[in-house]
Amino acid sequence: MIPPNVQTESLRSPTRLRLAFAVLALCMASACAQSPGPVAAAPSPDSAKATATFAGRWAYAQSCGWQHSAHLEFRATADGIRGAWSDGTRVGGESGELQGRLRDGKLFVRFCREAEGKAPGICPDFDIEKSYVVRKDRQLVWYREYGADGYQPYLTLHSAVAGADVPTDDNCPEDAAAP
Amino acid sequence: MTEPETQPAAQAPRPTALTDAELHAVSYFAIGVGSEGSIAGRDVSNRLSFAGNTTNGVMSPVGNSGFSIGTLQTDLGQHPEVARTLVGAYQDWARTNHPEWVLDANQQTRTVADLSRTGDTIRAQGGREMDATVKSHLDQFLRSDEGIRYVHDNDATQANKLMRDVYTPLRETDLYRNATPDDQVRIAAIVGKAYNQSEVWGGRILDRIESGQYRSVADVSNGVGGLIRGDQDYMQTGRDAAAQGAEVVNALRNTHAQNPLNATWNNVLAGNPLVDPTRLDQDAARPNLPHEYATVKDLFLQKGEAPAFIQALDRGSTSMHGRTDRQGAFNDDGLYAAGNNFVVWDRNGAGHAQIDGQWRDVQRDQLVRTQNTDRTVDLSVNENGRQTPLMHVDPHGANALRAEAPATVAPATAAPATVAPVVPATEAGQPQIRGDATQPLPERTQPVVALAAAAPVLENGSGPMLQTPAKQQKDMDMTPAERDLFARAMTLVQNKAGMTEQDAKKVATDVIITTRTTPGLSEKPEYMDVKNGHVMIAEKVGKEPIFNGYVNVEQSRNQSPEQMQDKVAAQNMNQERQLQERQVRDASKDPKPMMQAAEDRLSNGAPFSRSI
Repeated sequence: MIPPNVQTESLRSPTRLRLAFAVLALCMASACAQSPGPVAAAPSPDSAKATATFAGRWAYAQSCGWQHSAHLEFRATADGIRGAWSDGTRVGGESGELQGRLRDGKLFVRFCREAEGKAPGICPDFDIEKSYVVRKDRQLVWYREYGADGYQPYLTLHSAVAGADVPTDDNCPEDAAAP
Repeated sequence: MTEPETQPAAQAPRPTALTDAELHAVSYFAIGVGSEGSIAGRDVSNRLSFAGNTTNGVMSPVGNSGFSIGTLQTDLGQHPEVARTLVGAYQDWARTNHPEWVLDANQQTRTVADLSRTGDTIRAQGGREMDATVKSHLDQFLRSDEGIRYVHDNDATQANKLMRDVYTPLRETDLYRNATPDDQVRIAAIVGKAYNQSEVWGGRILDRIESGQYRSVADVSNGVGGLIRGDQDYMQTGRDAAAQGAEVVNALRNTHAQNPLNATWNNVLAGNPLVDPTRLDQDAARPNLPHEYATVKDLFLQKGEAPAFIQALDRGSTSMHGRTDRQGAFNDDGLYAAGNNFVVWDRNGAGHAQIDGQWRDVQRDQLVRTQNTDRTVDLSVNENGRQTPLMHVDPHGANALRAEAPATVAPATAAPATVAPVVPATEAGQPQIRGDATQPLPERTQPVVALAAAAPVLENGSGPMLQTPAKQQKDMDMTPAERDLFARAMTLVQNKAGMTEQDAKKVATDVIITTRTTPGLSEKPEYMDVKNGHVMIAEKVGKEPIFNGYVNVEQSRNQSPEQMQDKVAAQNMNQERQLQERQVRDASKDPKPMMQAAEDRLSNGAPFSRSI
């Protein structure tokens, strides 16, 4: 495995830089449009550290009401941050793969969902960027794009360590709601 | 030496298959009522639901969820065609009932668009709410008879889709065919639910079953659990909710014959689990269907508590579930049982009771709960200041009417509940089963025709899940006296109820089973007649006959051939098991080898014969 600093150094060489621009141009033009490109594949020490702050599995679970549950999972790969996601209720939901890109301390995420057929947003075609996550202490806050208002908090997820229970959200006003 | 071909196949009967009605019940009640069309036990099928919350006029959807309706919830964002038909049905209703609420063309277009939004679209629109007045009118429509019927048509369409896309191929798989009926319910509920949540995931599970990757209910359950990595994902919570509903189905299928819910469940199945809920009172053959259907629905709304309640009624024992406020008044849903009497009510307070065989409506705010010093509870109903006692509930479960667990409950070898004799002990207008029903059923010791092999048990002890099916259908084994009684019952119902031979056979079979399972009755009762839609049987006649057993003629006639086969197979299996037990006892007394003893018995003339 090539250490991150070696990769970073190599990108600074004129030859590699030209190659990178060539690849970038190709990507902008065609199939690589879904890929974060060579920059994401070669994180700086800072970005590697930032990536590590998001790595792992994060989960949200509602114990009542619609029993909303969601998870995000991030791992650093040679192609950048990759992972999986799910989001739904006991009635229905969606799941699939994700790609992440660090910017200003936020991890911006693009999703694709498992479904029949071919369409934007159906794996392996990723949707456009409509979400980001930030670390807040030991939790992960998921923001989603919300009309003209920009991004709004959507869920607070907890680190999901194998064998440990994820704290549940027991606040379900709809449970007591009048018919 | 007896000729081998004179011996019936010495193998366990083929595991029986669920009927279409039972599978529809799995879809509608276990998956629908139990896991989708309710929130915390409250029925939300007939309103515009929204998975998410709305704060200060801003909608925050869960994931990509939009508005939804139905017992089997249809997400209008994923199914915009339903949003269009919903608005169309609303317009028809409004023209007749509220002309001022009819939407103009622009409003109609806007309403369809608002209802058709996915969660992503709602977020893209900044969480904009739909017109509150229009939404309120739509909710009123959904609660009307026309709205209930519209929603139910959608539910029935989805239930039929599950039958076509899931259960039909599932029935052809080895896993399902070789499963016990209880496990068939569990598999159907888990796979059907997975498909309802996600056709992609559900289809994948079905493919794996078809290819033989799964060999047990646990494999299927774990397969759903492993679709998405990690715990507590939405497929798992959906599976768990449906599996809970499946246990209610099984508890109802396996009810004791004298459990009042036995007739309740059988009537709901016979009346069609997908019956239009606005026409429950139009079934002449089942006049109590409105109570019965609502009671069954209540049990699935309270699916966590229902199995214990049903099993208490199996024993004729007691069960109490129902929260009260500080003043001791009920303030939530509830299930109360004592003996053969019960009361159920939902979170809105609407309830149904069967007391001494009589159905009645009950409202939660009329119920009065009195705690006695010995911790027993008296439940009564207060109507216009007059209190009528409903039941006395001993929380210790003392004075159970039936000391034994239901004979049909063991999942590994038991036949499905549909085999339970349909003998409504407390049918409306009929005398109750006598007090001797509190005694354990007498062990029957009549010999049967041949040695029977025990049902095979798998290595993991889970029962005959994967046993080789025996395809031969067996006739019912009967003693000569039972054969005479069978013929007597056939003649009776053909002459007095004008039944066909085929239908009369069903009733006569139930008569035989009733005499076998009812304390005090033998195969030579002195009195048998048809009255008030029942075959009434009395062991001895004094000045007036004291009736020991009843067979509901209509209910018996409505049984399908499959149900009858199940019933006969279960009876024969019980007889064979009793023979085994007897042989074990005989062997301990008689030094003659067991096979020789059996051969001797056969050589001396088998006392049983075939009837149907």
